[in-house]
Amino acid sequence: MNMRRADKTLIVLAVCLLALSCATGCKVAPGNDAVLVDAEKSQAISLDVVDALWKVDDANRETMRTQLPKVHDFVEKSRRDFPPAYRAADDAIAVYRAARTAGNQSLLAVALEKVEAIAAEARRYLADAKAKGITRKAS
Amino acid sequence: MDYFSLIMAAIQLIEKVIGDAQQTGELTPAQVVQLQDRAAQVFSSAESRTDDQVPQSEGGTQGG
Repeated sequence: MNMRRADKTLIVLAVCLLALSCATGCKVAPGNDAVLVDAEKSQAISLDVVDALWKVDDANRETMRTQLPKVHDFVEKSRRDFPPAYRAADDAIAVYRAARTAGNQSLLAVALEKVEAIAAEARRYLADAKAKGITRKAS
Repeated sequence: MDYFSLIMAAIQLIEKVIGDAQQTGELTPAQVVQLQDRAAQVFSSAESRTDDQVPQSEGGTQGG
């Protein structure tokens, strides 16, 4: 096999970084509660994803309405539905942080499920917008 | 794009992925407040950007 040295370097680097990513990304530090860590991480990521879709829609409102009306309708709905769902999950996290019982864990899971469901849909729609060349910069 | 640029781009991308996944501990109280502040900022902006609140000049009224 005739590979250039730079190709080999690139492959080795990618494999090392992938391994490092798995090694660092899959752990919860000792003394920390995995339920809480996952919940906080999920909240932060969901917020980022939904915010990204809102900004894409806001910067391309007319295009979104005409080319991706379903997505724009979802954005409109999520502008109203996501904040209360997020705040409810925030409250559930606070309650669980104060008292780490199985009951509070269940309530947290229910609250997070709503947030994650909206974020999952937002992630799909972001991909749809990107596929149509609609990005944050007004098109 | 030369190999050096490609490798640098790959490193930056992977660093971001690792950074996002690297939260292995619970947030500190200061980080909790920081996240809440950010959410409040995002929501206040989003809630004021629904179609019925955006001026028509920005395309705020549905055409059909």
